[in-house]
Amino acid sequence: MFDLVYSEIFKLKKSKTIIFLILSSILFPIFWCLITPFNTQKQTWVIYTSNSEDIMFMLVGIIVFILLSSYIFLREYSDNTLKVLYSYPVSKTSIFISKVLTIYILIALIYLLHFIIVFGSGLLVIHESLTKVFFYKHMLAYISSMIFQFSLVPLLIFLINIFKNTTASAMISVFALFSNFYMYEIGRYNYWPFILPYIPIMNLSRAIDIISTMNLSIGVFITGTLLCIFQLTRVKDV
Amino acid sequence: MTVEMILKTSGLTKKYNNKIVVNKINMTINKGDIYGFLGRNGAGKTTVLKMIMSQASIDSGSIDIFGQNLKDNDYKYKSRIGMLLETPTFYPKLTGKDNLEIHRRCMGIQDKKRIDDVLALVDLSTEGNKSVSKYSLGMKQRLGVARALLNSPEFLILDEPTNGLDPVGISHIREIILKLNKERNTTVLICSHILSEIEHMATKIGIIHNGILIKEALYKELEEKNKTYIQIKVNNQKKAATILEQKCGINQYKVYEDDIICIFDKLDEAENINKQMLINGVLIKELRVNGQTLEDYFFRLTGGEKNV
Repeated sequence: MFDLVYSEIFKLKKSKTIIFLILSSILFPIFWCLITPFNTQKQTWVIYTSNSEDIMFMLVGIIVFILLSSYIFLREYSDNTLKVLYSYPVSKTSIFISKVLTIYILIALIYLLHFIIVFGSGLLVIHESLTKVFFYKHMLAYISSMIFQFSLVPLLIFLINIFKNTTASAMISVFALFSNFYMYEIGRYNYWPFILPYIPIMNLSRAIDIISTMNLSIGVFITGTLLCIFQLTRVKDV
Repeated sequence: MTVEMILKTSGLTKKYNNKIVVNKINMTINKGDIYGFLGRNGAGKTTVLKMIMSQASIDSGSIDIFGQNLKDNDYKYKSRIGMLLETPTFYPKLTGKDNLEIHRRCMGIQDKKRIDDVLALVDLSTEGNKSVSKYSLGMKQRLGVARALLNSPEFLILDEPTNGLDPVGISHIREIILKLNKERNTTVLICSHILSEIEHMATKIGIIHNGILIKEALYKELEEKNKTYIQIKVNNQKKAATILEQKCGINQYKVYEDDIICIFDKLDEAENINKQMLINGVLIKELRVNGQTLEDYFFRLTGGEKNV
């Protein structure tokens, strides 16, 4: 499995798409860092971090992670390398899992980068002292958000593999983005899977029933996984 | 001595949308064979290969590979196979070496030096660090051969291996295949729609047409069957046969009805045969050089024309 995951990551070498997606996810914290010194209002850690985190985990994140998953899976179709992939002495399930693990590694990397940039840049431009409690609360929120993001991945892969088309993936991401916004506005976010990664961030500023969120996350993960297994078993001819 | 069987298909059948594309194919490939799998485009060759590699499901029939019956979820046997697809595909932004490195890891090959070895074998050592997107079709084909050889396969499957290669490249690939077969006893299955591409290599030939394996025979048998001969029509068949043996020293001939004799030996001595017959009082009513090439035979079987 290590060699398969290594190969999946190796395939991303020189990939502009991946660099673009990673840069897009850290664009906003960099942007806030650059404009904060020119802001006349007093900047606090709460305002500074929430500016970046809200945009990332409710809006930008879902687009980035759908496109990322899409790229990992669909490039085998666009590069026409699927037959080569299935000529290896490994099971289809192992190939699938290696791709999912690669997505998880990249998601973890993006979360880590985002966290470092938000707090690293905050130390440069926010003059308020950073408390340990605030720092750990956010770290925990990032970890929870990342786990919820992981739980969402199988469902995203299932949707991506239905259409096997990058344009369709882009449309799914736009749909997820607007539906997140809508569900948030009407207060029904507890029932909407695409917004899951944002709930721990939301929980930093308001009390949210995290148990029902966890149940939703587990349900989404199990459903997504079962759908992927169903989809995988149906692939007979490459 | 028992012959080790590498591949045996029994009644192998595949349908796509109720159309039969592979129809009850029974083919046998033994260890050390160079099996030329011939057929026109769309005959069903690639579908058979896909079924061997578990990339297409089997509707009916079975495949035995390396002595084991192939099941739906089998995959470990693939580590013993090297495969070149009709148009080899690669990750275009990566270099040739990077592509082989991915293949090495996924095939579970421990020896990193194999990459340089196979690149040298196909004359791509100096191009290994170039991005594959900058490769010509011929270079991609050679890289595809290198990839197929990376795991030192026991069974090499090559689908149209000389696509896009120049005559020198074709000859080079042929040399590599023959060398592997001779030195390592590698079994080879070569698919092609061009007979000349495989006729100097193949030890066994299978001809597929419209999904049906219409002929499977040893190359020698086919060659024998299709070799050139002199056909004479004489007035005294018995006497002519004696003259052939005693005066011309020819033993390889066959006697047919209507005073016809077919001579398979000393084909460049037609003039002498004619002379000896005349001297010994046998009248030759008709003399002609007959025969069909394997290519003629292939086109006759598949109902095509030579320039297809």
